[in-house]
Amino acid sequence: MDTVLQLENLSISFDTPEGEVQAVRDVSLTLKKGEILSIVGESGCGKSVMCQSVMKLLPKNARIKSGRIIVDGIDITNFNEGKMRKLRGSEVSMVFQDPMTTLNPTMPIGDQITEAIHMHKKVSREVAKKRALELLDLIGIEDPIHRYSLQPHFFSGGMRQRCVLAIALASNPKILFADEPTTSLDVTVQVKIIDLLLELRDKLGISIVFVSHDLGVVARISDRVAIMYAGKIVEIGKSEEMFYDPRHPYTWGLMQALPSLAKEGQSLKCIPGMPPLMVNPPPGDAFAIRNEYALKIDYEEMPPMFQISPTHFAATWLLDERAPKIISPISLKRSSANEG
Amino acid sequence: MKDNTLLEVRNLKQYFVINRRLTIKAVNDISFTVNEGEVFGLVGETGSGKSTVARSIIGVNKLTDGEIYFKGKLISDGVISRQNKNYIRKNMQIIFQDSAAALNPHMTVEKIVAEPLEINKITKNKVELEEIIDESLSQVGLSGYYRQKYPSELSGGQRQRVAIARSIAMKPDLIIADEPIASLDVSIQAQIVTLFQELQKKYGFTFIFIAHDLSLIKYLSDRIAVMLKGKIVELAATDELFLNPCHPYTKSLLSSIPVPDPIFEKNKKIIDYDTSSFTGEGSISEVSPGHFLLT
Repeated sequence: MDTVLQLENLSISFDTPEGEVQAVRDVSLTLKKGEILSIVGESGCGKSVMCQSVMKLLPKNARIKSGRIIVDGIDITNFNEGKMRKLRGSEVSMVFQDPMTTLNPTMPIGDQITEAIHMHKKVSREVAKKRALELLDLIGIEDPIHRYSLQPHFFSGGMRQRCVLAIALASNPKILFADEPTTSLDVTVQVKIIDLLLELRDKLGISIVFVSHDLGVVARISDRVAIMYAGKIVEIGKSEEMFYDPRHPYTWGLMQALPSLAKEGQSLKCIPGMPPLMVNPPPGDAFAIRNEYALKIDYEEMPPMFQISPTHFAATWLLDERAPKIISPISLKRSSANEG
Repeated sequence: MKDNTLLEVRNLKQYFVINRRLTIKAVNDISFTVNEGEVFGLVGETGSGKSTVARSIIGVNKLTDGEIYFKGKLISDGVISRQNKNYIRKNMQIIFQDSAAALNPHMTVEKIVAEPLEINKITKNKVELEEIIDESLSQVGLSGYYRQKYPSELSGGQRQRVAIARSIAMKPDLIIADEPIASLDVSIQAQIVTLFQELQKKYGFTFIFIAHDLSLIKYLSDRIAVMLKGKIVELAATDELFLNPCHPYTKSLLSSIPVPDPIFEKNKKIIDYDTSSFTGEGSISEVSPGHFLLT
C-alpha cells in the first residue's frame, strides 16, 4: 500500500494574549491508501487542529512551528492559499460535525454539489448535474432527481450529513477528514453514516481520518486508532491492538470511563482532574498528574514512543524495561466478541 | 396506586398547534409511573418527545390532555397546581443539557445556587443559607474557590456540577435530568455519572434520566421507557429490556449501540427499522410482569 499522507514531527502553536498555546506537539504519522485512521481524544487535545493543519484551515494566529506535511508525495507545508485551493477538494476534503453550518440553507442541495464540481473541473452544466446525481445515489439518497432541487431544511439530520459527504467527495479526493461527523446524530442514524463511510472506502479506495471521542464508533470504523492527549499522540496501533491490548494509562482511563465496559454493580472509574492548559505544558509527561501509575521520571522527562509491535506504539515510561510491571486494568478479551 | 409511586403520568397528550392545518403531536397519549428512589430512563431519537415529557411534568407546558400526579396530588390541574406551587417547585428540579444556557452569566456560582433557596424561602437566615450553599457545592466536588466565579470562567463539566448543586440544594424528591452529559467529554461524563450515582445513593433522590446514549441509560437506570414519535413503544426493567426487547424499534435501537470492541463491532448485524412506517396506533399491553409493549 502506498502512503497518501505523512506528518513529520509536526508542531503547531497559537499566538494568544496569554502566550503561546502549543496545540500540536511533535506529531508524526502516516496514512495509507484506503485506510481508516481514527483520532481519539478529549476536547482541546489538538485533534481538530491537526486535521485543519493539513487542510490549511487554521486561524490566522496559528503557525506551523516545525515539521512537514506531505500529501501524496508533495510537501505542502509552505503552500500558499492559491495552491491550497487547488488541493482542497481534489486531494484532501473535510466533513464537519454540524451539517447545517456546512450547507447553505438557501441553496438547493444539487446546486451546492455542482458548485463543488465546477470549482475543480471545467465541465458543462449537464455533465456536472449528471455527476451530482451519481454522487447523491452513491451516498444513498433515494430519488435523487426529485431531491436534487430541494433546500437543506427538507432533509433530516442524517440526510444532510450525507449531502455534506457528497459535496466533499465531488472531486474524488484521496483523503477525507471527518471531524466528529456523527456526534450530532441519533444512534440508529449514526450507524448508517459509519457504514456508508466504510462502503465509500471500499468503492472509492479513499483514505479517511476519522476524529471522534466515541470509542464504540471508533471500534466499528477503524483500521488503526491514535489516541491524542495534550497535543501529542500517546498511543497508536491497529484497532485490535488498541482495544485488546492497550498500553498507555490514558487509553486505560478512557476505556474505564465507558459505561458499556463497566461491570455490573461496579462504579465507573474516572480520570481525575482536567487536561492541562497548553500555554505552559508541564515538563515531562503531560498526563502524569492525572495518572495513578505515574513514575518519578514522568514529571521530569517526556517519554519517547516505545514500540510494542511493528504497528503498535505508546509513549509511556511504563514500557521502559526499568519500569515496574503493571498489569493492564482493561480486561476486554477477544473472546468477548462472541457475547451478545 | 401503589404506596411508593412518586409520579404518575396518565394519558399525557401534548399537542402544539402550528397553524390551522398543522398540529404537532409531540407527546401522544402516554402513561407511566415512577417509583420512589428509582432511576427512570427515557430514551428515543431526536424529536420523539422525550424532552417535551420532561417539560410537561415540571409544568412548563399546559397539557393538551391527561393527568400528572405527584405524590398523589393532581399537579396538572391549574387550581391544584397553583395552590401547591411552592411545594411542587421545591420538590421537583430539572437539569438541562446545555449548562451554559441554564446558568445566568451575570451571577456568581454562589448566587446561582442561592437563588432558588431564597425564592422559595427555604432558609431562615444567612448562616443557614451559607451552610446549604457550602454543602451543595462540596457534594458536587467544587471547593469554596469556585464560589465567586462566573459561569464563563468554568469548564463544561464544572458548569454542569453547578447546575446539579443548584438542584440538590433544594433537597427535592424528584430530579429530572434532560441529557445532562451529552455535551461533555468522555472522561468528564464518567465523573458526572459517578456523581449522580453517589448522590442518589446518599439522598435517595428519584431520577428521570433522559438521554439518547443507551449504554449510559443501561448503566444508570432501573427501568427504561423507549419513545418513538410521541409514543412509548416499550417499557421494562433495564435487564428485561436488554435481554428481551420486543418492539422492532427497540431491537433496532439496541443493535445500533456502538460497542468498543472492534471484532464484535465489525461483525455485528444492525437490525434496521423504518420509523416512517410507524403510525403510533395500537395499545399498550403487558407482555410479561412489568414489561409493557405497544402493539
